[in-house]
Amino acid sequence: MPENEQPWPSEWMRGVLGACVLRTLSDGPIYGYSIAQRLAEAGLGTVKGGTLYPLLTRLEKAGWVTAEWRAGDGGPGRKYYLLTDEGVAELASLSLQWARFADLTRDFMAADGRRSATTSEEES
Amino acid sequence: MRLPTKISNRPRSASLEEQFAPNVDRKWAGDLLLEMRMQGVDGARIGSVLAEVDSHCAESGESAQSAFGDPAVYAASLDLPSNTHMTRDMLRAVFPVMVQLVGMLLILWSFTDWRRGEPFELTAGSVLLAAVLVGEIALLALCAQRVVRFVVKRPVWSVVVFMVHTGILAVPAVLWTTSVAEFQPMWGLGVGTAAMAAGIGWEFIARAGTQTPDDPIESPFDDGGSSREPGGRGKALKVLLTFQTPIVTALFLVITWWFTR
Repeated sequence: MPENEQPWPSEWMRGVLGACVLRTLSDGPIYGYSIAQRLAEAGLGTVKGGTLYPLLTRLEKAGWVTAEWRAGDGGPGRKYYLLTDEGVAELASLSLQWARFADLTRDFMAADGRRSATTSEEES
Repeated sequence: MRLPTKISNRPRSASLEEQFAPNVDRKWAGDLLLEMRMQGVDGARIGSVLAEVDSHCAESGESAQSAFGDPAVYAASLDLPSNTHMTRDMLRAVFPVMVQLVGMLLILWSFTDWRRGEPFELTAGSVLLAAVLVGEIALLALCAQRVVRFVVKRPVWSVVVFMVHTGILAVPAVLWTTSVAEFQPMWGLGVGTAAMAAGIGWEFIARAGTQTPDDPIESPFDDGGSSREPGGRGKALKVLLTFQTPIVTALFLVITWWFTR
């Protein structure tokens, strides 16, 4: 797949990106570009700065994330994001909800597939 | 916190974009800065946003345009808190200028008559001109964001509009010569000078009464610099701007003196 091509439809990504970003923060303080790299490594595709930082700002406003500036490693400084206690609780809640949603969707799609196959066989 | 970056090592003469976002395309950073200023975002937040964009571009090697898209759209998407008193602050800033402007007009109009030894005649056109100018300054302060946006996006059109507007404004002053009042030119000079002095004093007091009158852009780092303290040239420019009305008035007086010899 070409580097710039997104593996998932953008509307799917919009729904899940907040939870995924919170998940990357649960491993410890992390800065913006590193979050984007982690998401790309996980197979979620390239998340542009223009999408990532406004999202981080929203998470910060919601009180789920806090940020602090640290000196960079021989380069520009970095803004590190950390999960707050409310953020940890939100991530736990979102993870559960998302798992249930993913299970439900998978089961529904599979059941729908089986039903379609059965109907086709009966018709023939 | 020590900052081992290019930011702290930038010379003070560097532009704000170079000082706060040295790894970002200068025009892009300038557009982002301008957009946030127009939204009324405070200087500390602007510094932080610029530093984060700079950090991302330096790490990823991407251009700001590619990573963040249009700077105006990006600034809007951050939905940063803006100064809700922007209009009030602007009006407070321009009131002293209005008083100075009225003083300037009185001095200039009465000076010519004083040179010629004639009484100062205040015409209806002149009063209209002064009223329109004062009204326009207030309107500019109220719609500052839209005006700046227009000037930045359409500089040529802005010059055309300004020229046409100046021409139209001069018409009633020249043609509508109905006398409204007549008095000794020294009165005009005295009242004009008093108004000018009062306007300048008001401006100084207004500035001193505000804690951060210029709301400088601040680096998120302790030693990352600030646009708070301008260098020698910057300070000279600030003084020059405070005294711009008397300086312009003095220039016009010299020209008038020359032509009425």
